[in-house]
Amino acid sequence: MKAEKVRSRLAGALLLLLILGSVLLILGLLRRDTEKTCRIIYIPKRKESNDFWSYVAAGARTAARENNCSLSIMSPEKESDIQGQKELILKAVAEKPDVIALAPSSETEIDDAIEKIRAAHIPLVYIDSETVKDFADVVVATDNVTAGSKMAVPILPYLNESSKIGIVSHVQGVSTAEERIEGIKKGLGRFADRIVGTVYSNSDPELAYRETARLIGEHPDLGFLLCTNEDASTGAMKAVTDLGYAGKIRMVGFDNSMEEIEYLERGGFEALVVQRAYSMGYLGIEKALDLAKGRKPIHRTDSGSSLITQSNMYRDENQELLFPFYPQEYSSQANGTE
Amino acid sequence: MTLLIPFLILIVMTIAIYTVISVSRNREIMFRTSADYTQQLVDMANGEIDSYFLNMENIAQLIMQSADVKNYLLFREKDKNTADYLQCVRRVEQQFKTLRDTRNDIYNIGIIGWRGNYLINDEATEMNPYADLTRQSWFQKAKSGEEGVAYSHVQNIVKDRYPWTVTLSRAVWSQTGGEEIGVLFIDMNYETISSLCQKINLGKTGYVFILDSDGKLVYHPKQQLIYGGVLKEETIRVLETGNGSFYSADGQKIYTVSISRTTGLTVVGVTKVAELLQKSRQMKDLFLLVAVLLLSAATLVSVLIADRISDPIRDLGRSMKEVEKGNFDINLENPGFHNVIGDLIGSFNIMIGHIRELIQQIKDEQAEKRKSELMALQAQINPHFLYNTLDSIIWMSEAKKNEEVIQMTSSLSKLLRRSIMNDREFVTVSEEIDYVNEYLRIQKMRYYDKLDYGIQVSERILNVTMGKMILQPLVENAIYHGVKLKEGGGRIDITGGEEEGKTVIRIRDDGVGMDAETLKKLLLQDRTKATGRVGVFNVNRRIQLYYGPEYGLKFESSPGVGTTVSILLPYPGEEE
Repeated sequence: MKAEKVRSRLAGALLLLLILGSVLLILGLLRRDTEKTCRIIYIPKRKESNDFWSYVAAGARTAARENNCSLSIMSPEKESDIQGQKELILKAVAEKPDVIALAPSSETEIDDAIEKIRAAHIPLVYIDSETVKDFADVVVATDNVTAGSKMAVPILPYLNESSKIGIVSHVQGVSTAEERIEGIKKGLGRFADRIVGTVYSNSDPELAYRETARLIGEHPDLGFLLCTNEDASTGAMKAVTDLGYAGKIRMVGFDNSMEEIEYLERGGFEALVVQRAYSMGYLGIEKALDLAKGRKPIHRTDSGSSLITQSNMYRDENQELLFPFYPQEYSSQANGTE
Repeated sequence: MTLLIPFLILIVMTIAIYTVISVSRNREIMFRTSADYTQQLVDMANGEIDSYFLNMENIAQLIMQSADVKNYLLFREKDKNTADYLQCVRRVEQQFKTLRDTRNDIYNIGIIGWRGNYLINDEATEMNPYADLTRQSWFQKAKSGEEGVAYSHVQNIVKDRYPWTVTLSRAVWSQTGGEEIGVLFIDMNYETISSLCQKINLGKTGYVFILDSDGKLVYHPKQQLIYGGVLKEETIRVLETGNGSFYSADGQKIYTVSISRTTGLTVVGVTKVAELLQKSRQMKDLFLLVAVLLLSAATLVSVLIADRISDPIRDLGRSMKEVEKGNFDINLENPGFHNVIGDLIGSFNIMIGHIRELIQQIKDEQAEKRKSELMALQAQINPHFLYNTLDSIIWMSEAKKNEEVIQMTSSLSKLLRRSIMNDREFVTVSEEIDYVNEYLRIQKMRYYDKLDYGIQVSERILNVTMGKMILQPLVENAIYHGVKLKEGGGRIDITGGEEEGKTVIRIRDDGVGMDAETLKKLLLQDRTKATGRVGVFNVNRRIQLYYGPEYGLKFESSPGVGTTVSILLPYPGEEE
């Protein structure tokens, strides 16, 4: 009788264990479902105060979400905050993500930080920009030479031997700036020698304004102004307007801030060359995922750019690019943490 | 344990069948359910969009019919300072405000007249001077009298604002209906459609997109990527397929299409096969897990149950074996539950009890029967002998042989007393010898010279018990069939002792003896009836009944030499 009691108690305990085990197993099964497949850290050049960088981030988030991948974004305050970006890179390496996606804010000055990424054997994707030394496994960027050459297209019909062309660029020595200038020259062809001056804004609209004003002061008969990024474009446009040169200088801008678009609509810009920022972010994270899965994607991907004029800006494919539509879901996420 | 095996087979079979069916049909059911579910969702989405447009259509009709609107559009520049104009503006503004207040998804309501008057929401709202209306399809269509709808576009008509809207536009006709006097448009927040699509949950990786009747994207979660050439969507196949669903060319996606008859919009739900497969795998894992759990739980429970059933049965079986061996002193403990097994054990106990009683009864009856049989077999004093002895006494009395008369009478009286004392079945060897001694003394007196006898019995067997009246009949036989028939008389010797663990008493006579055939017959049949007396057969039988077949009588005889009868009895040992 006693042995029987012990046995039934034992059986009860076994049954309880079985039930407990099964509950845990089922929970585990369900949990597996919600687990992220990989972890990516994306370090852009700056916070999403700028339209371009917020579009890149939106594309990156979409790609991450689609692939059930966790994405952390670590942004320096300003594009010129190189030290800040270096610190963020070291912080990212310490977190040992599967992949790091980086938009380097300098071509040479953050090499030591990037070497840490390589030393930790973390795959690296460059987004938007590159460094002189090619550290990255994959580069996803606008083909800036092609984009630059597109800037020359709208002014070509108006050029002659005596035309004076000015360039307002962003940061001297940065690959994007130099390549776009190279592209402009290519696009201008035989008129490339009509470039009378190149100024740099250091991605500051105020500086762009002043430098443009200075350039116009030096060349009062300036006929054309080509601007190589968003801040350069808005700063230069303001200067031209304020100095009463609106309508006298034909301008081509770069990227698509709201301000630039309004100028384009009212005829201030002949055209804007717009990078596909959303695609860039999306493709950047997609390639990062490929690396995380051990695939080796092609080294360089052009995320594309479009030349947009007043007359084609409301076409389906262009209005989508100029006025990216972000449903509430994404915009709310943009400020939150992931 | 043997009980457990069929139990387990049953359980394993049931669970195996359940698992095989669920696992094998799981994928198919999952896909079908998913397809049905997706179809329902896209149909629902389309229905919702339909009702939206119907609503907008109604609003458009209201405005189109409004006299104030028509009047407003017909005011000329020079009349704009009149009170009539101002009143008309207020009334139109009020109407627009009411409509916009009731529907928070309406972005703009506007009218644009051919005379240059326009009113968007209210008088304060300024039209974007750079907006080129001729490039807008909604404007062009309404202007040419068609029903214009621009499903998804950036509405740039209000200065400094570039919202994504769905725009419905209509021509406005003069009161008489003959003349087109302007265009009205209603901008609905595009987010209404996009959030509707996003709300539809098609798993983690599924999505919904909308095409208009020309195949142009109205909504797609990745519009940008499609326009940027990064992604492609199977819009052509969607338009070709119509309602229903199909697999993408690479087999990775399932497209479910719903076309609205009202708007001509095509709502498409896309589910990823990989996700369904993963879910199906998870379901399969779950099914298998549940099966394993069920199996182990069922096994555990059945082991317990089987033990509770088979343990008492095993005990019962063991008891049965005992009973087979003849041990009826069994009382099984009832395991304490009132079920078939408990009843069985109860019945078993009752049955064993009954059997025990019956056996006891039979034993008693047997004993009784044997007793009476033994009584029947027990020899009595031969009446002939009595008669002859009494005759001898008379004869001796007449001859005045007083001494002999007294001796014979006293011997006879001893004999009679012994034979009357029937209460004891067993006597000692010495008692039996004494009895025979008395008998022989009488016979000796009768036959005198013709009979000699001697008794020599070992002291060791004197206290051995034996059946009563065994020796006397044999001695009688030795006299009447042996010595008496011999010319000149003979001698009888009675000896006794222990031989090979048995008590052996021999009666030897040197009478006429028997031939082999007579000797053979001697112990074979009951001749009591034939002779009317207790024969050697009966004596033998009695001994064997008492002590077993290895005991009894043994005869040796040859004609002319004599006969020896050996009585074999158990020897109980020295201490007795």
